[in-house]
Amino acid sequence: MPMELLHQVGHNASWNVSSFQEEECGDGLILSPLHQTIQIVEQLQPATRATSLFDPQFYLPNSRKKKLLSYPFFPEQVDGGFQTGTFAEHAAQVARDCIDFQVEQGFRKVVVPTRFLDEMYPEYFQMQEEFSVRAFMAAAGKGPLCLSVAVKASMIRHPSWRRMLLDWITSFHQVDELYLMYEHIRETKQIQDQDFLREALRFFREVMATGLKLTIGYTNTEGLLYATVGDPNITMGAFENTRIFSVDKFVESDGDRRGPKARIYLPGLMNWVQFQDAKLIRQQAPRVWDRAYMPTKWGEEALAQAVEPTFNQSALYKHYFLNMQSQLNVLKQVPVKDRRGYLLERVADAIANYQALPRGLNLERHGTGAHLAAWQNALETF
Amino acid sequence: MPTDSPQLQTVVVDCLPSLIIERPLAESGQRVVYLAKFDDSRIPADVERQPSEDEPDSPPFLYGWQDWGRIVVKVVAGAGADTIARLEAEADILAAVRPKNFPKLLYANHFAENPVTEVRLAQPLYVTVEEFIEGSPLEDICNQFVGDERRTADLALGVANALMPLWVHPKLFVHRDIKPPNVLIRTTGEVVVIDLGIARETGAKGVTETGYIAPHTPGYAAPEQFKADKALICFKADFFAIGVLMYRLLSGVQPFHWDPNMDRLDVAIATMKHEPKPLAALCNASRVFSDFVEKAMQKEQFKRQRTPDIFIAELQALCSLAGTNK
Repeated sequence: MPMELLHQVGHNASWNVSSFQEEECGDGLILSPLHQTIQIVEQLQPATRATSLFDPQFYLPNSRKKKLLSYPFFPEQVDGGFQTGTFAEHAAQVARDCIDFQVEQGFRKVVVPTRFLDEMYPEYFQMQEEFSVRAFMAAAGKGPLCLSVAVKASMIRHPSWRRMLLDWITSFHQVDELYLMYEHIRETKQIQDQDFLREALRFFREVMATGLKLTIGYTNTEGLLYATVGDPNITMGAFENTRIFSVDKFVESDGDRRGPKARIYLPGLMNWVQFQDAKLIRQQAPRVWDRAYMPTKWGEEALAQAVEPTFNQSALYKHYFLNMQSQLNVLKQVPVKDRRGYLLERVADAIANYQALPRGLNLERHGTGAHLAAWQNALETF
Repeated sequence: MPTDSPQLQTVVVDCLPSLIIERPLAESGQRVVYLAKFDDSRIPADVERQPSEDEPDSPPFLYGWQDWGRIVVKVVAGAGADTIARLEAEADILAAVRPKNFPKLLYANHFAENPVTEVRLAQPLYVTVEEFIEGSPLEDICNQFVGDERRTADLALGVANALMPLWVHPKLFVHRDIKPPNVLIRTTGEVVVIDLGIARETGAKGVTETGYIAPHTPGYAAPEQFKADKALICFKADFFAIGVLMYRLLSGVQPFHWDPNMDRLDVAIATMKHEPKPLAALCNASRVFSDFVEKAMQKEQFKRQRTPDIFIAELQALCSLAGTNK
């Protein structure tokens, strides 16, 4: 199956939905009960649901987030509140209800939820199975199923853990797709950890060699690199917490927060750049701008505004979605064996574009090309 | 390890008074196995003909058992709770799955006392009664397979098909003990797998917590069976054993050396470290056959065939190819 680009739905889910339904951008959605009530999900167009996955998001089963609680099968809704010690008694019913919901709604495939365990427990797999996986496997019958697994970056980094993960993931005969997300804790918006990226590429290659379809969730633009190993599905999201996996959002308060400054995605830099900095690039380095910026109606609209867009307006995110789609469309035309070379060229182009910026143009730290050397090394060495 | 003795036979017949033991069969695991039959005329007069009030749907004890014809009786004497639990698990699996290519389980009971006299037994017995399969134990005819890819692939497909109901059962059972003594071939050629004694649910806690390493048969057990993480033992352990079986049948050579004098660690090392010579090099097997077996015997589970469906489809392709090449 060719590589797909899925919307990782988050806050302001309607942006993803309209991008997909009205602009035909992306190949489907990964729905988020944390951000979409059951009523909203049920109101989606059937054709949209048919190309989308519903992630039950049991990662933090005792989350009290309001929209999650609109789903009667969410663990916190069971038996007066989730308790690890007693949940096993309800796991079978939860599994049946959750599967029935997914089947009735006509999603592309039933997703089996797992819990996010923030330690590398020796009984990790047994804990996962006892929590939900075994009950779902029993309730789902023959499948096919998509197993969701949320891992820590260290599990991917460590070869023996990787092997155990692979052994476990491939131990369910009904599973033909893995929906994987990794918690890579960092202070930077882009992954600058070449060792992690290298090991992740190796892991993804190993997963795909088993014949499983792989969907990698919560990817930022590093998702493009993953095309090197074949045709995994990758994701694109609006707010940062849909581009970096963390369970923090399952506990954070919903109250008003001061938003970050608006950023725009520049594919020729393979990065997001603060909107003000982007305008400086356009002004001071028009040649670089021409190579880095890929115009869309949303990007043009934002750049034409007299007032700088804010982080909670949709234009810059929809611009990003269209840019990612364009980049992936080109990438998909490249044979898998040639993609490493193609991506190395794109990374080299981005480095060259950064180097061509005027000396006095100091970009905000997340907008620099500090991640590109790591990407280059990871691609060269995996 | 219990062994056959006149005393044991006497106690068994005391418990099942209409039983006629014909002869002992090969011992199986911790069990003594007898070929036997029931004779209703021997049922003592004081055995109640009606089902018990507690279990009105259960057939009455002993009555009508003569109709079962020749049967296999498996007896464990003086076993600990772990073993009994394992044997009860086998009975539960057979009841839950009712696999076609396994002998029918006709009766199972744990006797702590003589059911007629109600006298406590010196050693408790766990007794199962199974259908007797007319056929040849694979163990006795292994040599007939050497060099015959078609026959070996057919046999392996028969074993895989027999195990399929276990693998795809909602509880995801695994046999864990595929080896020649546990495979019978009916006179019709149909393959029957016996001895679910160490089968278990994938990922389930074992019936015993005392053994750090899961039960296994050296030489056939997959590397993961030597490790502590039982959650990782799945149908792929059976793929591994079927690969070993095919290797041995086609080449006449055991891929992983073991002998009774080796300790557990040596056996584990022999399985986990030794790379058997590919069949193509060892006995000039076809590349496709050799590759299939090599893949099934991969040390890393995830590198073996991914699902039972894929495993069986590849075996079917092997059978077709081997037939064409014949």
